Amino acid sequence: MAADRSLGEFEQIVLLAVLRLGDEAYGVTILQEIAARTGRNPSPGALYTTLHRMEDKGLVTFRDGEPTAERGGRAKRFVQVTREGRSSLASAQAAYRSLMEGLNLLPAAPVSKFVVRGAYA
Amino acid sequence: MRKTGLGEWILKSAAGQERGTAIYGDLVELAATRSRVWFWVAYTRTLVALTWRIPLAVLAVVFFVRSRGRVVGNLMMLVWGHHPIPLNDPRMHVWRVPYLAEFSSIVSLRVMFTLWILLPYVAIRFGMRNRLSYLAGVLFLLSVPVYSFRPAIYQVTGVACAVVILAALASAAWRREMIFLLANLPVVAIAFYLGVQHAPGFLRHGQFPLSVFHMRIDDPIAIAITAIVAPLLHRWLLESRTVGVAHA
Repeated sequence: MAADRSLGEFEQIVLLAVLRLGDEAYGVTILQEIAARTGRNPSPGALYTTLHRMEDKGLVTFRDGEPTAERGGRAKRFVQVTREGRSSLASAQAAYRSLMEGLNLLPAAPVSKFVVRGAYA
Repeated sequence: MRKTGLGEWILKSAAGQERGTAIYGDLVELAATRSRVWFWVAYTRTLVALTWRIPLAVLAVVFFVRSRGRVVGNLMMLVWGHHPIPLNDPRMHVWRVPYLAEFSSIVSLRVMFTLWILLPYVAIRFGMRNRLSYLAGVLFLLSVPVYSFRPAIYQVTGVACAVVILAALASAAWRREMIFLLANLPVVAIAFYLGVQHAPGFLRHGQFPLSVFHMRIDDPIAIAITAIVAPLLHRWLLESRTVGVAHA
């Protein structure tokens, strides 16, 4: 029997934020990245329960940072997405993309100046 | 050495040493640009988010333990009336395999007793979609038919449970969950032993006293297992350690 690897919406948002932040992903930066990119302000409690659940599912792992003065001498706990996490995220996003196909809900992506210039050169 | 305040200690007790320290550190860092009130509101919300399932799981266990007598008693009367076949009756040994009925009895009854307490706990504490809940659920469903006291079923349940236990222990993916469930077994066995002590006639005369399943000794033991033993075992056996130390 395979363990469940389906992802909820907030789990996907957290995984994407962690991937965007790379080596700098920990509680504070993840909350800031989500706020900056989505306009949402999730509570720290919601983030930690999601991270712990995903850790139990094997989707993320943690590594300890070094203690810093601004945190009262407490270490940061950096988050890393595992291979299973990337795979689950890719599956979830592929499912979304498949459902979105042909609906034209998203605005057209802006064409870069470089491509425009190249086209008329 | 850094001094740990009461708030941090509570968080570490609820979330674990490493998690608790990191969460508290994050809140301190976030509060640097906010007010002290914001810090304590965020702290309280985080603590509630991390712990609300624990009291609910303990209450569910107490309810399950207290209702066991009714459930099992009704099942017994439904299938056998008040006179089930005792274990030493020749009819119990349908396949003539030496010690099979005894083996099946030991395995399936211990598994059922353990999971009667642990299944509601893990299902509520960690969610139905958790690997621990899957494994506990499968073993529970395999062990419960032992109370049909139909000889063939009686012998199959224990063997089926033993096969699942061995398969889980052999599998790298399920081993730690299985060890967690097995590690709780000795504590539950003490509860069973104490319960049986109240009904020695069951062992001597083959009578099945329903009073065994009304034993009140189960309640404090169930609470102790769920509130103290199971969380500690879960922390030691199942919560992942950080993979390394990052150097900035």
